[in-house]
Amino acid sequence: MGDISPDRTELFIRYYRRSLMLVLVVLALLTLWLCGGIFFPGSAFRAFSEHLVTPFPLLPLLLIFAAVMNARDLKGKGVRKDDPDVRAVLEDEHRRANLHRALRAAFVVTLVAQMPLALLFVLRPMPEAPLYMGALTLSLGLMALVAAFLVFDRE
Amino acid sequence: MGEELRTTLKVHRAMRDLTQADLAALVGVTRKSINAIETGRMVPSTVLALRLAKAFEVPVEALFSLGEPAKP
Repeated sequence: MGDISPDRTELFIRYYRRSLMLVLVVLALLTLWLCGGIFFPGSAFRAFSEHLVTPFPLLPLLLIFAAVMNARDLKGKGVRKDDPDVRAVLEDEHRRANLHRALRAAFVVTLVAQMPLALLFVLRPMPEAPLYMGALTLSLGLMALVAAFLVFDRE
Repeated sequence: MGEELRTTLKVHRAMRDLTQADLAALVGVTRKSINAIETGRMVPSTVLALRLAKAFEVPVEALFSLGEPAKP
């Protein structure tokens, strides 16, 4: 335990938190893009999101830039699992308890979301409905998990 | 039942002039865990409670005890 540096642990906590925020943004964009494609194929949002990726991949480049800026805070120190500081963060009891709370919250969200999703697909029947419903459930569940964890794990 | 965990962690930490981050590094958790235990938002595992006791060189009972919940 003696090898753990409080400053570096704080650094990794901030790094993981920002990484999760980035993941949440990506998931939110993917979910919106998916919803736009399924329910509003000719909508302005769908057209806008297409333009962000083609012909010039602005959005992916912005996300990569944000990830690089976030990693820059680590000051050249990589994230190694055998690093005592990284292990202290990953095996932290408070974090794990919050992750379990977030998992329960995400489970409830995915269960509750089934009814409105089913209603939406009843209103707009399509042959790929089960596939789309599965994809939306998955993305909603992941979003709920990351968002709930960020809320529970805040200071 | 209706009992809650009480802790003297903050007192012991202050007696040794340790910050939450220093103590966290000593027992291999993050500062947030120490803060959560001190404010009663988290009940530590047996392993962590024993590690804390070892760090302060006191029995676990000196750090944690059961008591009636504080009245609002």
